[in-house]
Amino acid sequence: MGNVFDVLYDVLFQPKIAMQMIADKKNILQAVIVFFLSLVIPLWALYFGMQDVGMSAMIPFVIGFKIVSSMFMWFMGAAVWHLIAEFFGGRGTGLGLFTTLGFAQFPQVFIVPLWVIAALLPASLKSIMMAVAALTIFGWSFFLTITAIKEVYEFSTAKAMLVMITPVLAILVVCAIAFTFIGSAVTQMPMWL
Amino acid sequence: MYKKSVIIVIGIVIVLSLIGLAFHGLGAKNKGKVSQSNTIGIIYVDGVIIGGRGQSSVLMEQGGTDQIIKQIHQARDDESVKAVVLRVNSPGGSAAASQEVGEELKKLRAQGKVVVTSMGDVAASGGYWLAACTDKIYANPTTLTGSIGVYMPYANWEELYKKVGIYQEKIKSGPYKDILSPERQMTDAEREIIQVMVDDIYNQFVDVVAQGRKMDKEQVKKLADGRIYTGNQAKQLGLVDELGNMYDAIDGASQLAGIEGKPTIKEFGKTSPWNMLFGPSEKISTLLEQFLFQKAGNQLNLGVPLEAAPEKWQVK
Repeated sequence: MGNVFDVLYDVLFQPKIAMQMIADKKNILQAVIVFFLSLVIPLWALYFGMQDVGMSAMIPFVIGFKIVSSMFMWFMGAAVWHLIAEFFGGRGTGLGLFTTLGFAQFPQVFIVPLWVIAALLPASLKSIMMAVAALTIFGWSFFLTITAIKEVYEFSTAKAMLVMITPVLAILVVCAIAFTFIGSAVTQMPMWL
Repeated sequence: MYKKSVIIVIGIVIVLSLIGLAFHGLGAKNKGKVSQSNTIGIIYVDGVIIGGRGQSSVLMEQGGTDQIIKQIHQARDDESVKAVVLRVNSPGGSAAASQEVGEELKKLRAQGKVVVTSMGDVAASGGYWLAACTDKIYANPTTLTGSIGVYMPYANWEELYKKVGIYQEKIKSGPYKDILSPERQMTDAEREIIQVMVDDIYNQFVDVVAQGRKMDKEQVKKLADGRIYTGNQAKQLGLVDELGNMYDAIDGASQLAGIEGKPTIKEFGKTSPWNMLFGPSEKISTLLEQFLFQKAGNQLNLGVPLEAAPEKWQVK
């Protein structure tokens, strides 16, 4: 694998090849650096954005939440998806997935130039442009995450998507079961007034 | 090699964007500073006025006059703030707490800042004490205000204690140490002591109103029999200057402070994420409940045996 510039280029323009290489080399240090850059740079935009709209009081709360939730999602996402991928017969490693997921966040750095462009637009287009930019970046990261799972475990796209949404489906099923039990318990409960 | 160049270009674009964003943010701040020379600060007095720090956490900051006084000091130290609108939505509170906030408002005015009151749903009793310490009072025609007076809540639980079989004994250092004890009838001497104290605080309240409203003390006493007034009635009686809402009060404060054009509004106090999500915590029903509870407290004291502590003194 070449240097980090080559890897980043490939992540953006040849994600399939890049994810294969990253999963193969498992360079954790590079993944950590890229992940933190991808986390900190958008936070910079978020900080000034919130100050601009007069939400200064919420900044520590939102930034703290973003940092904690992103790290939690990275660690827990890698662990849970790896477990599910193994259930589905995947042959990759957890470390490989962890590394590729770190790189999959890289497109988030583009939120800053896109929001700067949005800030220069007329007020009527500003919010639309910001929303479009955020959706695009989210979609790109989502696509890279699917590619990462696909390449690490040598899955088809459909299977990779299934791995990705399985935790959400599991939560929905658990909630549905819980509500069913609660509902039946409530209907059998004597009326105490 | 070209891959490295592409990533470096992307990096440069991002760094320039970050710098641009920082300058945009600073520009907005500076732009704000220029217009902030004509700032009107808004300080909210919500709920029962009680001394102390209240409750402060990451999510919210509520109650306690220490917070209000801190905000008054912030407004005093902020050179851009030319006037302060005190938005009062309070049924009253303790005499000492109302007095200390009132004194701070007077100091703020002495510093050359205009202070105008805007009454919300209820600005009675201690809430009116604060209003009387300001330059001008605005109230809605339906605002509940007035209630100028003082009371000391006291309940006699003697008969109930006898029925339940509770007999309390006390070893006292002096005859009046357990004054206002709920397990026995108040003596005439004790009643006299309490009445003198109530009268003293009442006279202080009347003085504040007379001084603040530039009225004769006897004239104030005629109005200060504890009754509440609507904003409309209060205007006719001279307890309120103008009828209007908070924005009328802001306009009035602008005129008094000599601000030309539209003033910049600065709200003091922490706006919590919780409040941002779920809106103001003090609803009219809560305020009315507090007001009625305070009234009812005179007849039905729900507390444990009382001791004559300053916070038990209620400005009515």
